[in-house]
Amino acid sequence: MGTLRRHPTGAPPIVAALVLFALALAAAPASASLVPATSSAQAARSYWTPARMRSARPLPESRRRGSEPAASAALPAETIAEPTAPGVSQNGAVFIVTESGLRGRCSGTAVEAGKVSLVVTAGHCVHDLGNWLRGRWVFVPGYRYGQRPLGTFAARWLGTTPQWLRNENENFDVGMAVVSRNERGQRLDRVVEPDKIAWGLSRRQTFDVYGYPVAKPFDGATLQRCPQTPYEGHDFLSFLTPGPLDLAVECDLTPGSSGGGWVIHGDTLNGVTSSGYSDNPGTTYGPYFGAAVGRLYREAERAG
Amino acid sequence: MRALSSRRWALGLCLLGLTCMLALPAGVAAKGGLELDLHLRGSHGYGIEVGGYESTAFVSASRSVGTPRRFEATSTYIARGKVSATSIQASFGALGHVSLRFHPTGRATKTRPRRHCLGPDHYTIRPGVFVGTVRFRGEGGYAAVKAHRIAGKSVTPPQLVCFDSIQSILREFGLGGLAKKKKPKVTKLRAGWREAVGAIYLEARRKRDTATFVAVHQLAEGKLAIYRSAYAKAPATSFGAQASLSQASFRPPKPFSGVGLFRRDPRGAKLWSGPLAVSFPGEPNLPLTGPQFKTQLTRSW
Repeated sequence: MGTLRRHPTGAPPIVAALVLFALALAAAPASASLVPATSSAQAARSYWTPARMRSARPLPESRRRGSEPAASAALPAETIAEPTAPGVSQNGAVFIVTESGLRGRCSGTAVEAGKVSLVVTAGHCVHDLGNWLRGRWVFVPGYRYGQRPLGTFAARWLGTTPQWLRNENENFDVGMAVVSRNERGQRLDRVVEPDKIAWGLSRRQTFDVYGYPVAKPFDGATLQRCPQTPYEGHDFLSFLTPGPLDLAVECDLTPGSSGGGWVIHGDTLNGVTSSGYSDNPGTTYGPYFGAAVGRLYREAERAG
Repeated sequence: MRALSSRRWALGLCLLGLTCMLALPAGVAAKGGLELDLHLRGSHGYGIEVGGYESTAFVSASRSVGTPRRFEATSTYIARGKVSATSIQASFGALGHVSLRFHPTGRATKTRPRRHCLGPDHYTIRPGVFVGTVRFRGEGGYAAVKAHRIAGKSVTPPQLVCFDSIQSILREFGLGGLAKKKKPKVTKLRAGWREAVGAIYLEARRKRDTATFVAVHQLAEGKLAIYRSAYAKAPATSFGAQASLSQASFRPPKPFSGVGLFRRDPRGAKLWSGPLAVSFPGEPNLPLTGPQFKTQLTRSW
């Protein structure tokens, strides 16, 4: 067993644990980081057949919070019947091939970014377990039942916050992708109406939380939404790592919804889904959109 | 949705007091940093610890009985703060605040090197005096302290990551099969439930002639996180379980009270009932049973 005692009269285990955990997630440098995608847009688009999209599993495949799934007490999410409709089509599914060749998926949101077509998602949907997820990363807005009615947008650049990049600090679990045109030569913002993005706001917001949950009771085929769910507080563990405290909302989305947008005022992205506990599926957690998100956004704008 | 990273999950277990095994890469352990740390005597027999690292500050109030300890109960209050090599500043809302400067008073000393460490193998401890204000009053006034000049220390690094043996390192990283196998006979009950910003867990273990009980309540309350833990050690008779594990009863000593009853009906449904409760500093008689708890009763072989 790991030995955590400093000396006989040292700190109690909780203090030791706090310190050790903070060390693991020590402060990171200030600048964000972007890298180019490794596969061509055409190769990425053609790779993702309907069958491959359906076979993709939530990222990261092997990790779960908690031990056993429990029944949710939260109000159930609602299925968006027409995900290509104006007002919701900016939400999409993200498909990824990992370093080890696994097909993974997340969720994402198209946001306004000047001349750049930009998708915001979770940090672990672009960089996980020490690797950039650069292989065949695509965004499919309006995805439904294996279809891509609005086309497929392959990543040109991927970026995340330095705190996520260096330490997987979940208080900074935000990622962004600059995407190319779809197979019809259309820009993302010509196909969907992107959300605005805001950071540095009060945490006390009411969110529409979107995502494509794959794990049961969902199947990843449809866009889901937890409508008008208010900020409830912070995850305890958020206090143990540097950075702005995260946000908790009542929402029963499951893995696969990572990176899905938290929208305020109907059109402004102000959060993304990051994590949840399997023994409390009724609550979803996401990082606060603070200055680090603003820096990442500006860097992504310049990358275009 | 992303599930828990291995480090955080390990920490979660560690926080529960169930096990303190953290799978940290050597690079992480070697990152350095420091912790400021001081101990005070509070009212009503409570020991008070104040400390901080990075942007996290904490005040911890605990009371224990027995040598070796038979029971212990602790409440730790965690807040965002400003912690540097020479100062700690943090507000704990209505519970108090900390504003201290650290003045070294002696030479730094190095502790004896440990074996089987990931990263540094010793501490550098510098004694000193904290000058400023510590004011703390627990909920309902269960303990209070106010001080302006306190002896303390800075510790670098804040924590070593060391192991008892090579075998324990292998077990730590999930390679237990490569280590010499041990087969402790342990009967164990885990019960817990989680809500949006809080969770309660209980673990009872019976091994040979001893039973141990650990309860944890973690909560995020506004700008404060609260971690409460209780530990008790008792004769094995306080944890009775049928050989079939279809029934078990628990009667832990202080700071617990009452009895917990576990029963598995013929269809396999688990019932967890009884007036079992635990008293943490600042939160007395917190129920530890009920239908909201998920339970697991196991025995090693």
